[in-house]
Amino acid sequence: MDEQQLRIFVDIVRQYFDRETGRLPEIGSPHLGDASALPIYDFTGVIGISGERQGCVYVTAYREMLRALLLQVGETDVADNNLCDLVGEVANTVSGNARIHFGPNFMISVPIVVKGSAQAIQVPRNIKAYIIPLRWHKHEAALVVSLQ
Amino acid sequence: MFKLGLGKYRTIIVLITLFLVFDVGVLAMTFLISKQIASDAVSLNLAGQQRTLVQQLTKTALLLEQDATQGIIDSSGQSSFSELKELIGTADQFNSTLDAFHQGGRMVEGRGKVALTPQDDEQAAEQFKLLEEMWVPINVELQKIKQLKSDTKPDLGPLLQVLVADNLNLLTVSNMLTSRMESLSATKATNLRIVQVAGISLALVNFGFILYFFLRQLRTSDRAVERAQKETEDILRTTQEGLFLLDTEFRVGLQTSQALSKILGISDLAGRDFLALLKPIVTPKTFETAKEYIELLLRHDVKEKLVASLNPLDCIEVSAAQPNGAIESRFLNIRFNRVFDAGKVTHLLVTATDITRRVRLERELKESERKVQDQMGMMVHILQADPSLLQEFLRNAIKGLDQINEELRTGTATAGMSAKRIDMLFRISHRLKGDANALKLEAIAQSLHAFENLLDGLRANPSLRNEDFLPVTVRVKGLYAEIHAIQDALTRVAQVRGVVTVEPPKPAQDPAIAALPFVHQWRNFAQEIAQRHKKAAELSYQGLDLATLALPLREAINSIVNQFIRNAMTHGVESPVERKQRGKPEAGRISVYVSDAGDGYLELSFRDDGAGIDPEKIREAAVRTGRLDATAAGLADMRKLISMIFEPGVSTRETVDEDAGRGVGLDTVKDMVARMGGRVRIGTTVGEYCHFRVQLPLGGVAANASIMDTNQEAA
Amino acid sequence: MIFKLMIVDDSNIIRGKISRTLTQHNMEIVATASNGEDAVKQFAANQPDVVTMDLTMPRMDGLECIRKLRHMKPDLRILVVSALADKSTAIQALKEGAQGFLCKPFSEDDLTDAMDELLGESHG
Repeated sequence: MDEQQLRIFVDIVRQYFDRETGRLPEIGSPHLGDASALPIYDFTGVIGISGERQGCVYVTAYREMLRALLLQVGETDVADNNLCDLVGEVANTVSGNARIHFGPNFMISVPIVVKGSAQAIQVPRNIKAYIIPLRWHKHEAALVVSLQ
Repeated sequence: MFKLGLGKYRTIIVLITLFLVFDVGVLAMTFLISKQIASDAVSLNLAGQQRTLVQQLTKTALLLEQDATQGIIDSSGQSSFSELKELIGTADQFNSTLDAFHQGGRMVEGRGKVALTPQDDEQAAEQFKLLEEMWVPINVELQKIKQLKSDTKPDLGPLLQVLVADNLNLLTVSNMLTSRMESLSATKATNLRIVQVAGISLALVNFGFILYFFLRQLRTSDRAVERAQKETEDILRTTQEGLFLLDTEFRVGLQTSQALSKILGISDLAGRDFLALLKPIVTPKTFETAKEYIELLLRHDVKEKLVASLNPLDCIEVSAAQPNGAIESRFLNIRFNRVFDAGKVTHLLVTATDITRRVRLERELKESERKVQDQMGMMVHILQADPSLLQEFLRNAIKGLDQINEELRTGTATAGMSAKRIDMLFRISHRLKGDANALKLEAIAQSLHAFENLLDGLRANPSLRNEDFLPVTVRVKGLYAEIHAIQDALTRVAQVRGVVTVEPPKPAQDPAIAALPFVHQWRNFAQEIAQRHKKAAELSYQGLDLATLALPLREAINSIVNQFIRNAMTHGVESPVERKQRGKPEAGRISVYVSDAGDGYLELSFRDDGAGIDPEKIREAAVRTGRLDATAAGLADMRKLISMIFEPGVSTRETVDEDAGRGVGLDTVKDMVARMGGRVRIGTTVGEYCHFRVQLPLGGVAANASIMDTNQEAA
Repeated sequence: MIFKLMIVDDSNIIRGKISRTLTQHNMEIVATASNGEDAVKQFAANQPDVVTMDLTMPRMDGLECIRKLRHMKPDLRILVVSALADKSTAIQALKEGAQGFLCKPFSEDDLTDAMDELLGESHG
């Protein structure tokens, strides 16, 4: 169950990069992390999940990667607002596609974007989250899946 | 059955009979009336004729009279003779008609029957009587003339006298009689016609009733049929089961429930061959059996209830492709019930039910039962395991998993996971698996085994990508969860017991017991050996006063404890310097505890906090004494090795001295315990402790002497 | 009415169980046989009304035995008592003329219920 769902999330993110930039991100070695020690970079797009399983999925990235990504797609305005929009867009894509794959037993929320290592990200305590590091043009990002 | 039908149609049959009766009645009446009218016409004719006859009579008489006065008769005589004859004929006719009228119903000169006579009516009878009376004197004279010889010349005088006198009266009375009879006939005809009209009217009314009843009945039965049909339709449309009738040719009936198509996943079933429909959705063997089963129900004298268990279609799995491409698998139950008509099986009622939810639920239930069993089993092992060992295992397991996770984390995007790293993961897992097995935590051992298989698969893959480690990560998470589950369980157990350790609490040390002579002896014995080996020892005792035990048992325990003390002080307890380095008190601690286990066994616990049993040393000793060759020794597991310390001739001491080295001691303990029907268990951790537990039957020798076993292992 | 019963089964235990249960159920055990051949002999000698029949037996199996017995007495009532391992063999047995089937393992109530059903008036 977990594995299948993880693959779906990974594939969605990968396809996003592929479609927008024509270049697949490198997938790092997947591992586990405690709720207190999850990677949270400069900008994070979070979707909440409830229903059959509960928790959240988020994509977090450094400013540099988002900036490079924007420039790559032809956007020259790389102010924070646009960077927020971009990471929100990634989360949105994950959210939209996840709905298709997971069906009605998963309630998937509208994405929220968090700037900086804010406390706003509600990760379930006491369970270990999957961390899948992403690397694109030497920039680091991560997909984090924390589901009960 | 026939009776029932008659009942239903009784009204209509009565009405039709009445209708026929009326019709026949009217017909008969019509026939009667026409006949009557014909007869009456005869009577009326006759009545009218009487009047004419009177006239004729008078006229003929007058002619005869005239002839006589003129002497015509005298000269020729011919014409007078014919007139006389006519006179008599007319008189006869009048007489016979009178007769007919008088008696009624007589045939009169072939002119029909006289239906109507003056006797039918008082008034007519009176007039008739009057006519007769007037006729009497005329007739008297006529009869006189009739009786004369033909050659005699009649004397018509008296006749004419009465005729002339009564002629007018006769005419009047005849007229009155005729008209009276006419009016009588008319009345009778009218009455008959009224009866006829009434008959026809009754018949018509009756016909109306018939129509009314018939139509009403028709409508009622039509409505009943319609309602029944509607009910059947409603049932067939609404029921969640697939229902249909199967005829003896295995054909599906024309009416099926709406749910049927959905359940079987086949549309337009009515009239089709059921076997042909069944064939593609079940296995060939199920199909054959199903065919035979249906034949059995249709054509053989078997008890439906008693063969139901043979129904091969009571739970079949059918798969169908869904519109989205997914294959959906469902479970169906198809039952057959015979339908009888007049004692013969005409159809089978087939009921198809989708039992997917039930089957799934049953499976889930079974699965969860299995899980509960597993968990219960694990709980039992957890409770049986030495708590300190268990805690240690859990700590190690978490540490191991953390290590594995760290290996995963640090496998960078560029370098990826090398074969060396996978080997590392494998080793960690393998070690944990061994520990889990030793503690009989089979569920965890199995999970670790699956984890190793996964890693094996990855090792075989020459072009590994990081994503390939997703399942590894998933498994690691699962393992964390299992370890946490055990920790939770332990916490709960501890809460229930109100203590942290699961070991039974020991009674507080009783100074009186501690001062007993046998304790004193053991303590001295320990000190004595300690001194010889330049070690220090403290022995403490809790439990029973051995003096309360039977002599053989007391002696056995004493002997066993002495062997254990000797073993502990020579092998187990380290030198004071070494102990100090390890953070232990300089004096080795020996705890002895004897208790009645309550199950008919005496329990002896002997524990020292020495160096424990080092498996490597046993291996060396086994090879040195030639009990095992180097390969076998290398392969021997902890259990095997520990059991060897009980074998004669195996000592870990390289040099022999009086206390140890000859490899005797523990083997005698084993023999003694075995003889008495008890058993020995050993627990040890290298560098920490060695713990012997001996169980001896209180009531002498137990039936089956058991071999010792080990349940603990060095970390 | 007391029915006369013959028990045909190669298991001593099953024979004993059927015998004990049905003796208490107003039936008279007139014969027992552990194989088909013996069953045919016993049948001729004892003329039972009802037979319980195992299917897998040494020396003439249940199917053939049913055929022979039915030939000897067409209105004989036969209850097949067998495991459910092979439904199609059981169905064959019923086609040969047995009227009911009882699945092993069975409880005493299962057996008496099946007998009542087998000996009841009309069809199922």
